[in-house]
Amino acid sequence: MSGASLPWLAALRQRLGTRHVLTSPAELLSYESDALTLFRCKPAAVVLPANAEEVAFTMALLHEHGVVCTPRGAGTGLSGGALVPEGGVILSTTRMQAIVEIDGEERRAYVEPGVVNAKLSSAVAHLGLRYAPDPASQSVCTLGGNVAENAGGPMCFLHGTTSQHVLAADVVLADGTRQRWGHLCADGHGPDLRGLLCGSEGSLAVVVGLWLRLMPVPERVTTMLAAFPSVTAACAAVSGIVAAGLRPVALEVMDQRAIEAVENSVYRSGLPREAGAVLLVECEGHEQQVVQESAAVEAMLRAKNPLQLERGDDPARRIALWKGRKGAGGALGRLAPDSYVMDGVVPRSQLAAIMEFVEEVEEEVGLPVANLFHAGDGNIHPHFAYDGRDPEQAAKVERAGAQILEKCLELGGSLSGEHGIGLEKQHLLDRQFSADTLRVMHQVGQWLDPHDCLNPRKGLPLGRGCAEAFHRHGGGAV
Amino acid sequence: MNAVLSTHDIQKESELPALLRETSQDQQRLWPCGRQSRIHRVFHHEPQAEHIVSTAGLQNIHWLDREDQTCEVDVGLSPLALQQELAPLGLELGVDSPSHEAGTLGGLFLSREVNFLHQAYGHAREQVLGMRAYLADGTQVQTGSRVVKSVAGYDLTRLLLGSEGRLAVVTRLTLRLHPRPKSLDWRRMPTASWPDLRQSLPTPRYAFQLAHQQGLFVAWPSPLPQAAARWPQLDSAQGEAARLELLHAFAECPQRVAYSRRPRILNTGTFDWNSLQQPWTESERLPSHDSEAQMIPPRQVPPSWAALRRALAPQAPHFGPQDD
Ligand SMILES: Cc1cc2nc3c(=O)[nH]c(=O)nc-3n(C[C@H](O)[C@H](O)[C@H](O)COP(=O)(O)OP(=O)(O)OC[C@H]3O[C@@H](n4cnc5c(N)ncnc54)[C@H](O)[C@@H]3O)c2cc1C
Repeated sequence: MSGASLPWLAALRQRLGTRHVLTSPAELLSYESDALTLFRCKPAAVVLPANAEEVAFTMALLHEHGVVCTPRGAGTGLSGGALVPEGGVILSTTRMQAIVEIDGEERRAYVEPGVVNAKLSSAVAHLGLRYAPDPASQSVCTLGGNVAENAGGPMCFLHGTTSQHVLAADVVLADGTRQRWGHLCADGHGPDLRGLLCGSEGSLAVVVGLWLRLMPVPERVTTMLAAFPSVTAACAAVSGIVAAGLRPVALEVMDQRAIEAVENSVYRSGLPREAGAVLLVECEGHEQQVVQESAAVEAMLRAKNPLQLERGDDPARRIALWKGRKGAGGALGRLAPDSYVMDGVVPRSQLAAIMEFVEEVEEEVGLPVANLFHAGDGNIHPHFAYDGRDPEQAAKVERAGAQILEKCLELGGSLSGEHGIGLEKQHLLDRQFSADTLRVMHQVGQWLDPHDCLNPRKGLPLGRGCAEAFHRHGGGAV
Repeated sequence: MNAVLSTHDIQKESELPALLRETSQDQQRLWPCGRQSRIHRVFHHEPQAEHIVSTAGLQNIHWLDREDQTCEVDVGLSPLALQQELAPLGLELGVDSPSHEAGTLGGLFLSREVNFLHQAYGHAREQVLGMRAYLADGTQVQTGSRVVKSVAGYDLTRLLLGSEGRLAVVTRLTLRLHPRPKSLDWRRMPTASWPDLRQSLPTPRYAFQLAHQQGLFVAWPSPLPQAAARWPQLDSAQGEAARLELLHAFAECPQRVAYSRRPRILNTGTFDWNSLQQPWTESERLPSHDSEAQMIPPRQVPPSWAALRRALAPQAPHFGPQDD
């Protein structure tokens, strides 16, 4: 599509400056997909507004011209959420990176949506505070993107996902209207649109500002790494810890393939290659509490006969214990030209069952799968390594993904714990929710965006057939 | 004022769709409620609607998974009854409130009840993973899921929470549960000022003040943080009995303040600021909506309950309280 002649483009260039409206094929290339490369679509243009006013102007203008728009943060999403259908515009928040206000006494901060997650914790560290949600992509992904996907991370087992840390959001609706959703005091009147926004995948409103909750840095932190002969044994240890009423902040498992990948990469951290799985447990809180709780966790782990058990109480040792887990995503990305990182949830008592099923599926498709998971939340992330240039492999991987997600549902789980539905899982949503419930979700969408201008065809299965339009391989499993 | 034409004590969910369809056809107001304890407290009158539907008779625990720390319960159960089921399993609901005995779980989560455990487990709404609800036109909606983490479709649970019966009749709740601390350490701090305490001590589980008693009541799960032991204290107590005694005193005290991030005044009617040792600074009082509004220039007022209800069930515009 040649954008040069479009009237709205001229208006955007005039208001935002030519430099901030991208249309050349080379510039648009990196906006063709997010971190899920199974789907691709080149936008007509990418706009880079500097502030909320420019976002409101852009949305109002595009709305008037009937042009669809998708907000985008860092593009690290893993469900195809930040793609726009052909002819549409991507609104990138990368120029909106200000941490506008830090209120140490009230433990909250006001940020623009393009602020990178990890930067907020760094900016408030001198006050003894931190921002708790810690997705593994935190050094790159944006807080706006985190809200849109209701991002989680290892620490979310105890502290909850992004939604629990958003006090209020300033948003721009599809027609350019600005509103504040949420309140700075505990609760206010009217529907909890702040809560609805979290996980809405950029399809209800563009986030232009966020009041986020900050938490005190704990007095003491202890990390333990236990190696077990099998994933099932690691899962049994997780169940034991949870059932004993212990409340660690994180419970993370890596299987043998993930360990191998880490140990063969620059993230090598001395993980035991012979282990079937490693379990990382972290306890935090005040001194006495952590001493007592970590002793109980350690006793519980020992009772499960680990192959190896290590403990870190000082920051250097703890960082070393986490190094492998933190680098695992990157290490796995190097195993093959493409990787497909899945996201599903089961009740945590069903972890062993779902992992057995993943193994069966792996055998069936004949492609390697590595597993990293937030075991405390029952949130699994099988990583398939494949070559996307081979359409057969891509189709196989997608089919395998769908099978695993269906099994998650069968075990009482959910299609997504933190990556969202995006384009990837639309076709499965009617297995999780009844037709009536989906219709009501659709009505909510229509209420806030009646013309379906904002990130259309995402999240809900109502644009059935639309995912195929983005499909790199012509719609393998969809 | 609407004259009450009918009162329905629902005993089975299956009675609801037909009843809802019937009343919405007549364009009459229907007010879903539990035992009405909070309605009386907040609205100071009987529910004003042609049709009152009480879900207090729905009392089942459909399942309770100890290992997953989740359960699905009917809304008519009282919070106290659920806590009594959970205690022997070493679990608890992440909400503690003054209306635990009189009210229902539906009333607790569908209104904006205070949560004493806000500091330990967050807002009451964070404890709800999913719901079963019937819209004004009788449509059954099942929101959320039974797992503790889910991002799938729009989070309709958030819209129903706090709606006070304006959107739907909710019949079931899927709840997140928590390990119950083995023991609580209570302290009464004499001249404690909340900001100082909050800055220098790990977050307590409870913190509140009663007008007729000197000092600030705080509690941590045992073991007590060392820093707390260093604070001067008037009194100390341990365990569940102390909790019950203090919470009862709290419920009965007309001049009381619960502290979360900022003090929360629970009863402003007879509140006498000067009778207390002003434990907060002026700037820490609840912000007026004006000061919040100054942060961001032109904005429109967010949509109301009425607008949302019209979007969800356009043919049945009268539901719940009239104040939206
Ligand atoms: C290696 C790796 C590890 C990861 N680990 C985790 C993890 O541990 N936990 C986790 O939850 N996720 C993880 N992710 C996924 C991803 O990082 C998160 O979903 C993140 O929240 C996306 O942020 P982003 O800025 O990249 O958003 P994008 O990918 O740019 O966008 C994601 C969605 O958000 C919407 N959006 C973006 N900005 C806005 C805005 N301002 N207003 C409205 N909508 C907006 C987009 O439209 C899109 O639907 C990982 C990804 C990678 C590649």
